[in-house]
Amino acid sequence: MHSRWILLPAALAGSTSGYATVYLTVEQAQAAIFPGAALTAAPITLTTDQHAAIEKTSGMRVRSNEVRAWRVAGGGWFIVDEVLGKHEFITYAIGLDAKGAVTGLEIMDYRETYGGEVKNGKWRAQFNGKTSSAPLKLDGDIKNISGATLSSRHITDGVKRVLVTYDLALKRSS
Amino acid sequence: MRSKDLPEIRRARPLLGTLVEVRATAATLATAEKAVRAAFAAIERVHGLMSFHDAKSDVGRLNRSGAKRSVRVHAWTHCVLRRAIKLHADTEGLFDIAVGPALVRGGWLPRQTKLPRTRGTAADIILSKGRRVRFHRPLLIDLGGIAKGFAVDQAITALRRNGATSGGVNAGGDLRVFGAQPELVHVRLPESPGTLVPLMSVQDAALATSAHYFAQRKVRGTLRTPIHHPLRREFSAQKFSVSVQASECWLADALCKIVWLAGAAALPLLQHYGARARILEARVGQGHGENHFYAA
Repeated sequence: MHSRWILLPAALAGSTSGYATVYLTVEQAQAAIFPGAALTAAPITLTTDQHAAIEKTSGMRVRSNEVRAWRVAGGGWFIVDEVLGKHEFITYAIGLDAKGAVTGLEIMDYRETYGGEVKNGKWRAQFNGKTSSAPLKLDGDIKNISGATLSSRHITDGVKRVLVTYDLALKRSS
Repeated sequence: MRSKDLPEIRRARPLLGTLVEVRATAATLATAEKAVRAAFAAIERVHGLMSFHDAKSDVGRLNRSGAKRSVRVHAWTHCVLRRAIKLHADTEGLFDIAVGPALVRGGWLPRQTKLPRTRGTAADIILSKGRRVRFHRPLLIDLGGIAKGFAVDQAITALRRNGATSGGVNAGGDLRVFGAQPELVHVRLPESPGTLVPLMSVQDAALATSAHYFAQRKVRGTLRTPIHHPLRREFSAQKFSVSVQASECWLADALCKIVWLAGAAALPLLQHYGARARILEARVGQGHGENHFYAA
């Protein structure tokens, strides 16, 4: 059989930018990581000393002094954290057992931003004012993206920082 | 009942060095949740078996001891190795999982053990009964070009076995879907990866994409991708995206790298495996109206 490449025009009619997906709300993430458990909000604000100590120990920058933490009945913690990559913003939840070991991790939402790269104003206008809670609809949500890989390194770094935060701040508030 | 009326679960976790998304639709929410849990467990298992970075994984043990003695591996690892060796033969050496030393030298993989002195290939891997594997000579294998797709396939099997009626698994762009409805897949424009364009509809099939964006880094002054040409002994510097649709994701994943390196020369192989490829070229300059796909 004769084989060759065929040149096709790209179907750009539905092109869009600023991909965003919401996977779980805080309540859903709690139920996914600690099914059936009672959780009590126990947010803390890091002191300047704690902030500095966490940065020093983890080697990661601490962007916020507010730690969104919940205490799990019978021991353990549920923490919501955010990481920022070059083009992505990811909120995730992490579950720790009474000894501080990770019992679960769920991505809560994922947002991509590519400010300035995109010049085509027409479809860009459709994105204006959209947030992660009102995802873009063009022929329905974009369900599948096949593309090169965004590394999960930022999340790995984030988890490291959360574990140090537990060690230096949460554990002692127990 | 249409599947869109059934409860759907959609979760994402960091695995395989990327974000893995699993979707499942099932008769009940509890079934969908169980199916998604089973799918993630399958991916974690593949991760644990085939990670280059983990010294205790099958790949880690093989790289350390494979040339000294035969190593017993998991059936899944044995299966991936068998397929990789076949593709190595099919492509006359172009698809080579023994590319580890080059990836380490290029900085894409960490240097853990001494690099082999001789230059071996996938043809130096001997598989025998009892899931035993032995290397003819010291090798550093990396399953990065095939294991992610294999993990997606295992997760799809887990979704089906656990009662999902439709669903999909997307491991950082290598994806597979199943169910009664065809699903549209978007790809990123090579010159502007934030822009998503519809590529094709897939149903009960896999689609993998390789592209330079996010992956490239400087090697001796030139931006390169981690896709290594074992015969030319260099990392590709091409700026385009290659997508391959195939029945299973391990195949789509591996064929992507082959099309990337071989271009039109890969067409007979694509036909042999019943696969389709699309290349989206990066365009220099503004405006996206003139991009085009090369399709086979």
